[in-house]
Amino acid sequence: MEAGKNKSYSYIENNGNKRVALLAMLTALAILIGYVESLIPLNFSIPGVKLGLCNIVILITLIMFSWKEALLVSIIRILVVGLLFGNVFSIAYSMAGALLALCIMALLLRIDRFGMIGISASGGASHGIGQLLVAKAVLPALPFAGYASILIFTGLLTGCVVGLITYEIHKRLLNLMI
Amino acid sequence: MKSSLFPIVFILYIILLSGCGAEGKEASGTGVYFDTVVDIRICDGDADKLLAECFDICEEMENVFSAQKEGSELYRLNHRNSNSVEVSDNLASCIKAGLYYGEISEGAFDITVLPLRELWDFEAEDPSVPSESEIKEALKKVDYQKVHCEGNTIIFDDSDTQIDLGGIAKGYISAKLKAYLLEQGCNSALINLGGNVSAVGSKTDGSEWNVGIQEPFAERGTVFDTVQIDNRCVVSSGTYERYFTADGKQYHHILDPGTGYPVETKLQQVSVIGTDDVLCDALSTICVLIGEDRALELIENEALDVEVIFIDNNHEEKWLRD
Amino acid sequence: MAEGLDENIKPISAEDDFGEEKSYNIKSGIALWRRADLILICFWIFFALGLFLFSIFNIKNAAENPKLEILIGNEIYGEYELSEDRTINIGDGNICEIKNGSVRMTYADCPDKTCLHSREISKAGESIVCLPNHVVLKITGGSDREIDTVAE
Repeated sequence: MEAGKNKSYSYIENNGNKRVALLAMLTALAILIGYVESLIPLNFSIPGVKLGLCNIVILITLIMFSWKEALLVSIIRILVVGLLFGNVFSIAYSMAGALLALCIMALLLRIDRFGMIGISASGGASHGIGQLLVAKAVLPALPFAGYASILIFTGLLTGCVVGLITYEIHKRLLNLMI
Repeated sequence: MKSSLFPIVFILYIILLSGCGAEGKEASGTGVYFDTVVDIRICDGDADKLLAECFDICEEMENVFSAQKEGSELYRLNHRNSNSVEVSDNLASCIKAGLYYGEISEGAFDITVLPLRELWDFEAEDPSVPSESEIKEALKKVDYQKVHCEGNTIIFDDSDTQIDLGGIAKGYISAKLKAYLLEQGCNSALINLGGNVSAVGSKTDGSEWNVGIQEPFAERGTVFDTVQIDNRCVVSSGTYERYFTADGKQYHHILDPGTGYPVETKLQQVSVIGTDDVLCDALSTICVLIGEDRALELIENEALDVEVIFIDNNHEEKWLRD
Repeated sequence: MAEGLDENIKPISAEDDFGEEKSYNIKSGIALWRRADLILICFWIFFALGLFLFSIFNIKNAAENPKLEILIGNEIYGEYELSEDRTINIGDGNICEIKNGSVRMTYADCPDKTCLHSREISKAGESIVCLPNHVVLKITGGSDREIDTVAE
């Protein structure tokens, strides 16, 4: 993992290992949570709408490390899940969604005026938009606006739930680490 | 994921359309089966599901009734090894109906006309008039009385006899679709099976369906009259449907099983309106074959519950109503 | 590394197992809910509402405007607005033309050419069929149906 390259050699030696281990754990967790989520029999009847529990891990990574690490975890997760269970399309959809969501969340985090719920909800909403942009490219006949509004609403709701969970986890992590 | 996006579009349309005051749910679809265009519009019940089921029935029927399609049940019946063949309920009841209409039309309507039809081949790129000897040869194979039906067993007296249900299968299938829709509680649908129109119930607002009738020899889609129907069907037959011109003479596709040539008739078109799809389908052809006077006689004698519109060669329109 | 974005994040200088500065930051200052979140979420809701209204307007419009639907076999080949004059090649066998809001078949390689002799269509429910090529041109949508279907 190249992250941390610009620190001193010993930093990579010591903390690099730990960081690799941590990021690997987070990635594994993200993949696992995605799998666990698929086991939860929540059927939203509209494809593209899901709980997005993986976002907990991405959000934690984003907060603990930076957007670069979050990006890495995100991409690896999507590639692994996509190659194992999906196809080119599913990879393209989730990639676009995840990238846009990450951009928005990193930006909001940096602005430093927003709480966990706001950040996570925005992530959820923009995830839907990202997916839809790819879908629109594949299917020009897609009624973009109508579908986007549905995805934004559901994304906001699931994002709030994810934000709440992330907050609790983050709080406990803080206690654990300090 | 790609395929799963189509339902989204669908769901969305349904949500939005039902949300903005559109009247009920409606589904319509067009498909090509047994060499005709099937157009179905469903305005009642679980329209999308019913529509899909209807097309499934069409596909199933195509595998029974298509005389051209290799492997269809009818094709296998025509290319049989033995002269006694067990067939499905659908094929048996349709052949039975065909034989019945042969009976009441005194042989004018003949379901064994296939060898003759293949000889004339009106669908060919450049159809031509067959030679007299060819026609005589083909005529020998045409006789509906050589076909018998006992239960689901079809018995042929002659191994050359071949069956073509073109004059009746569309009616049979539309009746089947209609029966299915009614059974599913659907009270508003319109089926157009290659020009045979069959209505299930009325429109959702309670008014009758407007069915246009093709003007003979005009551009396709030109309507000279409309009829209002509910729960009934409209079937038109005529010399304009398929024809070619050779040596200045017009040859149309309604063949007289007596002479082997297109029937000499004063009628350009006959439209039959009634509740029995099979009857209407067969009767429209029979009327063209036997002419107006005998047709009126037949309808009276058999007490057939139909309305008929005759169009003669002078474009004169004549209605027979109850 | 992350410095670019994370200047405002205060690293927690707890010692880790290696006795050095942690490589990760625990940002302590993220609240569950801040006032700006309300603005953010309101923004999203209004954005979504706007899109929703726009789409209703759009779909209503689309439903009122009749469209040309082209089918090959039982598959939809394409959907076209009638408002725009154009010529459409349908596979190799057929060409149709949209002109002044009506459609007609201008070329067909099939033997019977019935479709070329079909009346031009412009109203919902009307259709032109090229049976040999299994091509169906059909007008969908629109509310002004004079005739529901035609018996041929």
